[in-house]
Amino acid sequence: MITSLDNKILLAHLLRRAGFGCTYDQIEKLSLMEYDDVVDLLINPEYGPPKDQDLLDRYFIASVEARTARHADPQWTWRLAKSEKQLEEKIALFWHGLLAVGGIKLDHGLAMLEEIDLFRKYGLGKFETLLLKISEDPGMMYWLDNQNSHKDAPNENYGRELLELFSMGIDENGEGSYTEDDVKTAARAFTGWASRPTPPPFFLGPFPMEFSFDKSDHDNTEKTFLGEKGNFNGNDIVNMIATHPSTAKFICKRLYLYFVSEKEDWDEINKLSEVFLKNNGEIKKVLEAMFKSEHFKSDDIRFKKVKSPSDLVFGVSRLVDKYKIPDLDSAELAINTLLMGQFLMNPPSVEGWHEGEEWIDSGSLIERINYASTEISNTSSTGVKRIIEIIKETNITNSNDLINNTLETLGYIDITDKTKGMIEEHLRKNKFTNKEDKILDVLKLIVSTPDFQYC
Amino acid sequence: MVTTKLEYSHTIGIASFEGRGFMNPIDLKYKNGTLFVLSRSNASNKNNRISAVTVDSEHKYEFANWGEDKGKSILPTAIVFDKNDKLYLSDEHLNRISIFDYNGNFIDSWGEYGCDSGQLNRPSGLAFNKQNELFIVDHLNSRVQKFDEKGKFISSFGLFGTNEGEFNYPWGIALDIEENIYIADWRNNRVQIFDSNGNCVKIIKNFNDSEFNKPSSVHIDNRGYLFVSNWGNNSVIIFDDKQNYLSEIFGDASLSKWCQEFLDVNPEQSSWRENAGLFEEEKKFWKPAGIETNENLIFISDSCRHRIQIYRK
Repeated sequence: MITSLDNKILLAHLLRRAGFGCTYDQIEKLSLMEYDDVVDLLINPEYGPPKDQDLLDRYFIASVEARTARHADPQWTWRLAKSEKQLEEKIALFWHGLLAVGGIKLDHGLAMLEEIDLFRKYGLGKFETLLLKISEDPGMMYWLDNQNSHKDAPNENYGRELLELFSMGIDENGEGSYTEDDVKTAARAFTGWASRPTPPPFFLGPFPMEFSFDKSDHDNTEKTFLGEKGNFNGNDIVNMIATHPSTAKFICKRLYLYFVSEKEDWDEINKLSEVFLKNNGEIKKVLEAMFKSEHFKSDDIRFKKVKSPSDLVFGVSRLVDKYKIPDLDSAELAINTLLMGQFLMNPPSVEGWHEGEEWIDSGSLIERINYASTEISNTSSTGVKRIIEIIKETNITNSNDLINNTLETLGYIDITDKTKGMIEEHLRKNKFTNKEDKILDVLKLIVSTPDFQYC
Repeated sequence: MVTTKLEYSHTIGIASFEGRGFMNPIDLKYKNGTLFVLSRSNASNKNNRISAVTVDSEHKYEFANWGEDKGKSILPTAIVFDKNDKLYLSDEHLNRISIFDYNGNFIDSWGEYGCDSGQLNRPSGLAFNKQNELFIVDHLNSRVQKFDEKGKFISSFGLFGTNEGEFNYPWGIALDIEENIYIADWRNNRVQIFDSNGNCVKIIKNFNDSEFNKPSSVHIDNRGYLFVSNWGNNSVIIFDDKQNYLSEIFGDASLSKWCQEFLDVNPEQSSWRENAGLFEEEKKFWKPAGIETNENLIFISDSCRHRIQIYRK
């Protein structure tokens, strides 16, 4: 039997993985619903601009005509920190890391924002639609040199990454379900797909990029792809690979690694692959099966995944509920993820980011601890005030009670007994002038622990 | 004679992080032959500044660059001259009004964050009346406050809401010759006109069978004509002195002298531009903001295109 407390613990876990976490009060509110109903709510966001879009544009006018990824930051970070449609942003971040376009080479913040929005709009739908849309994305075409792919001289860059990194994948031996000839055929099928030239941004700022198809530069001859013959174009290639069993396994593996665990569990991945194939590659169906599975809810999964810099920064900013309307601080949130190793809208390569333990080194760990402890100590933040208020209201008779209540108020988070013992020891050795100082000290200690780096 | 079509004159400006050029110009004022252009810039580049330029594209000097120190600014919103040729600058991050002389030398500053009378929460539009009293659109406090030139609070009007006389994230302000006060009531998609005591006397929501979309700035010229930056629709609407609609313009920019010089010395960029061929797109306003006029000309800050489009009256 699932108790009310169990339900809250599971909801907190779900929101940390399917989003960036939420406050104690938000969990209380959600706990009036069944867990499965919350999953259904998360996987069905209504697409549209945030209600504060006009304010973002007014206060950060340079992000409206974002010439670079850095100029575009205020637009995305606000939604990462504030959007109530958490999975919409989390899945956008997932696809941004998988169908990766590098902001430095593209050097077009407007195009990056368009791409992120494409992930919001199509990222939970059919994978085939998403793959087709990203193949028509002018930023992607430019990033992978497809404007240099001509019918008489195809450039294989997009065709290769489409198969190797975006859909079918390769195994640990470097082998895929496709051949080198399939890569060449895919490249031929995408000839003529490019981005329309835009004026340089150096005197009037950027102009929106647009997809263009040049029929005269498209290879319109018969091709052989994955053993089939036909006069295939890019749409046909996408159609043939989008629901291929190899694609199902590759995409479900990546979804599993991102949302569930850094350790591949092929029994679980295979189950998800079956859901993918049965539902024509509908991503939300895969996520529904994933989040509702007992495996996802198990103790083996909870607090075993390293938070990405975005998980940490936007999780903390949501926890402390610092921002009511866009301001200079919210506009610069991406600086924090950058210092922790994640340059939003500029993944390091077409492979995206290497996640898991690779996020942590001595430098990034210090940034993580400093950021979290600074924010949780800021008693002017609405969320910090509320956390202190909730803890003060509870019946606390000893240090153990204080620590447990604080963990619960921070979103039902877990720390090891060893860590708990160290905090108790600290509380024993130090005297506090008032209850609030003691609570603040415990808050700072908890967010500075290694345990807090996991979700 | 009422004219319904504005004649385009020329454009000044080029996107520039420093020196000659602008970075997201959002307000401007013309004084004694010089145009003062306020560049907003962004949080990461920190290139906000006030540039003093001529109508013939001569860059003279700049001031009020990025910083919290006196004489600096972080997120500037508006500028205005008082009757003694002192320039006042509002900063919505610092909640501060800074004062400079005509040459850009810092004189004084005042203002503090808060919601009590005389305190500020993201000041935006500025305007002086004939008594040299300063009106500040105190936009997150949903009110217009009046101060003397030293910053002493005099009075205020307005509160948050959508009813007559209420504001929803107001932005720009202008006074006509009778000292009626025009407010760009930005999120209410309207312009409200108040008498000098703060009583709402008229609301303009429509023009030519259309509705305003987030009007950012209002300006009254010496004929009493009203100019409204229809920020959300990338246009500027012109009304006569009785607020009868005259015309709507969407931008007619040609290459500025500075842009042409840039392209002349960067032939590869010029070729890139020619190849794109977006010449009609280049003409259009993108988030027009502050508007200014002199005897003969109308200046419109085209904030996302880093330039000032200039029309003849």
